[in-house]
Amino acid sequence: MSTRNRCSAFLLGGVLAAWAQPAPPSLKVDFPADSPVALLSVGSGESRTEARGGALVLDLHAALTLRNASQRRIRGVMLLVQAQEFTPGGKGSVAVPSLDVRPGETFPIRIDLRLLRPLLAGGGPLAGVSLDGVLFDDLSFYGPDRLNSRRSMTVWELEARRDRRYFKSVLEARGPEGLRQEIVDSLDRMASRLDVQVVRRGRATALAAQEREVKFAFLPFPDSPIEPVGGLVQVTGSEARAPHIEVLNRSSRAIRYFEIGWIVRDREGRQFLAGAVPASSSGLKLAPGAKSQAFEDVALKFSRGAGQPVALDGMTGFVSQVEFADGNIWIPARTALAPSPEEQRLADLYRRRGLPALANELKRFSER
Amino acid sequence: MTHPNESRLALYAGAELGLLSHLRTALHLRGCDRCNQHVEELRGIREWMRAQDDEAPAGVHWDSLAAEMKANVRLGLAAGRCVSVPEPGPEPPRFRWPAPAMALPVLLVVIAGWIMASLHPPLKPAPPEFIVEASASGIGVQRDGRGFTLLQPRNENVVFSVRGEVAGARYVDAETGQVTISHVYAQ
Repeated sequence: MSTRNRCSAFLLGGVLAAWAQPAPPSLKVDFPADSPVALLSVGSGESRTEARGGALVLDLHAALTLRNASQRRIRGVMLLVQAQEFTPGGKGSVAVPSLDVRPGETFPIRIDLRLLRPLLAGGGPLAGVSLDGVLFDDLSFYGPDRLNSRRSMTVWELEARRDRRYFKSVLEARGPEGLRQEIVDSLDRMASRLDVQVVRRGRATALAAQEREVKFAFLPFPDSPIEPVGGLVQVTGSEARAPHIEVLNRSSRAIRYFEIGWIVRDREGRQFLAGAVPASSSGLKLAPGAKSQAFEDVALKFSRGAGQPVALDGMTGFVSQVEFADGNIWIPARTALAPSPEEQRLADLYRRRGLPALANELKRFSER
Repeated sequence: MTHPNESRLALYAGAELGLLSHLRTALHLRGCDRCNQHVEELRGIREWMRAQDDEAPAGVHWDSLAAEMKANVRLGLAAGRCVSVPEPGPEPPRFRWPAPAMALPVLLVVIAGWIMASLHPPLKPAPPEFIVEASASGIGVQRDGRGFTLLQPRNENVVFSVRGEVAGARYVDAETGQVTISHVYAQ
């Protein structure tokens, strides 16, 4: 083969290789200049692109290494993830609560994304990551808060403190064996999991004729600023639609947000935390003694394992969080039915590293 | 103002109303240009029809047809034929009400369908909007063949939750030991 032919073959091979293996997906990370967390590196080793039928699937696995550039301890970080070309209007967030990052320390945040688009769609940037909020140990906050990360992370932090206090009290009162039993029970409860599909407006598949109204039962919290007065949801088989809960502000302060936790029970009597029904109005200002509603025009379809539908039997609601007009937040006492992120983290720590590691972790946090 | 209905105006235009109704309608027409105009149009149509009558096709005698119809009513079909002018041609169909007879079962089927539909509404598919899913493969939002999913690789104990149009997944990252909470929003 002549030199000219070799060059042509080499060029053709290069073109074919470039065509067959698209450029690796990219992640655009953009933090503000005065951010209390600094981006040190972005690792994206396992990312890949694959054609499936008429669609292009892009798996994007990135590990961000961040450094606490502030003078306070960081308790939580929330990142906003957007891929506008893939889902116009759709966005995601990745949050890491229950942190204890001292000034100058580094910590990782993993982002694992799958993007799907038609093969013939254009190229362009794949995903953008920006900072939505940082919560510090004194509950102060930094960030644009477009996803209400201040409220979410404050709730998670308050729940974490509450649950660490609870497990510490168990350790003190009942010893290591008592703590072990608590954590094992918690792991059992968390092993029961439901898959959920949400369809905005209307019903997913069910027949209207078979639909029945199911009343919410409510867990009592005497110190709750909100009292659920009544609640209904339309149920058909494994599908629950249009939850509607009426509440009364029985506190002496105005309330600007609340959420009702939602636990579903199947026909075998098992209970699962399904989620929450938020206050209907985003600009809520619920005066003392006034009533309001939590309503969602969505249909939720529950299944287990490989799409096996769950026959719904009952619904339980509880006031899971309340935000007053002055920004203060109320959370309920610990309930075993709704494990917090911190309880999940502590249970996992026990599962991986045993009881001594769990006891040390509880001692490490000095609660305010 | 309450206007006389269409049939009353048509009868008025043909001077076929009773005395009281005629006077009442005439009184209304004095102050109502719209109804007056309508009556004039109806009169115009009547005039045109009369003109058509004058130009009836050969062999069609309106007077004898009218006589036949009256005789049909009073004496029945056979007697009607006796007083009519005999015409050559095919025998008229014996079944004189085919359209209503066919319409009745159709109407019954429509009414029955309406009743059945109101008792048992048909399946209603979900509108093709955002679908938010939380499953073992991750939490995702899909629309028109495009999708965006946050994955939870190598994690078994994932707690899913839904808040409004937001799906959430909570898991402990196997490598870092950090609890990670991801959400997708269909907004």
